[in-house]
Amino acid sequence: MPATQQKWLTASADRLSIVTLDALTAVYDRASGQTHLLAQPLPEILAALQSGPANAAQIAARLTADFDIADSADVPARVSECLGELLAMGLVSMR
Amino acid sequence: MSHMHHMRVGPVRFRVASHWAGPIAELRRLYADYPALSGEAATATARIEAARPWRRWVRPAVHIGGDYTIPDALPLPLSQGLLAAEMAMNLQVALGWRQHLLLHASSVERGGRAIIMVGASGSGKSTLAAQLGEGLGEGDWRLLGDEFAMLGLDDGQLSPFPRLISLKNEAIAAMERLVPAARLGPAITGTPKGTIRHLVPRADAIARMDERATPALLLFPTFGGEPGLRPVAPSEAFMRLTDSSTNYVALGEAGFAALTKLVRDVPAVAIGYASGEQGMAAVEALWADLRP
Repeated sequence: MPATQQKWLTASADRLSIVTLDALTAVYDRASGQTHLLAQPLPEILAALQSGPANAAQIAARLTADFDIADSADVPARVSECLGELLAMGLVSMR
Repeated sequence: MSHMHHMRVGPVRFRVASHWAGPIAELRRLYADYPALSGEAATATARIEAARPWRRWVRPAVHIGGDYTIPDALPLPLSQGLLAAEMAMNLQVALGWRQHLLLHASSVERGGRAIIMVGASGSGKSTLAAQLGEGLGEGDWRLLGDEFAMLGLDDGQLSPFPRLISLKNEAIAAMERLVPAARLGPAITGTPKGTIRHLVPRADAIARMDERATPALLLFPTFGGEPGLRPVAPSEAFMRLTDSSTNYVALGEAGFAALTKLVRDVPAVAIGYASGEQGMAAVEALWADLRP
């Protein structure tokens, strides 16, 4: 399967406690006991994955539907980059 | 151990034991106005013990012990026994206490609302709180604590923890002129932080140690810093407070919930100031703006 078709899923909602502070969002992961501070658009990507597993293009589509994004052509590439960061934190996984 | 003292400070019931009479006698004198304990189990046990068996008699050196120890801590000379006792008590609370979120901070209260002051050693947070607690500012402030702010996990209320205030170097002379000698411990020279002298908090701080307060302002002071004010965003306050907490990680989600609630509910400001008067004036001005 090409990398762009890779499906991603987020940790189940009852595993994470998510609190918006300001431009940053604090996330407590009950499984690891770790606290993460996320900058845009990472919390939005986590939220977009709440409605089910998706690949980067599908996540980008969900984001552009919800947010006013000026240059939507760049979105899938940026989403892939962010998924890598979320994966390193253990907040998303690949299916 | 042959010498022992029990006392309660805020929610913590201490048992302090030592091989030597001297440090315990000092503790008894300085903690004379605190509630004594009788027959209740201690929640924190601190020990000041001989670094080696023979060092009880020859060039006595003390080790800090208790439920929690730091294996690499250097022994202190017996002349610093009171300091060792205070350090041992701090260590037991810092590492063992789970009933509150502990912030390494000083705090003061007025009208049931509290200022929590957070900063590194040398930021002036202790001196500022001590000066306000001594009534040197305009308002009638009560010292809640000098070392730890104890934040309730369920209700976000601050529990007073009015331990002895550890005055350092220049702060000592200023306070010696103001308070009776009975409220001061011995001058302890040659410590890693210079000269230290302990100050018993004012009587109201001890008598009202069970009266909790609602946090109203988070203050990040810097003594000697550029004078002025800077608002601190909740996320920055959150990061700085996780850094200054000794038990945030151990508390897990309860700590996360208490801390996120605190930084969302309470405004945070960083101040720089060049003198005690300037610091107190800045605090009074901020407090006046906060009034509902």
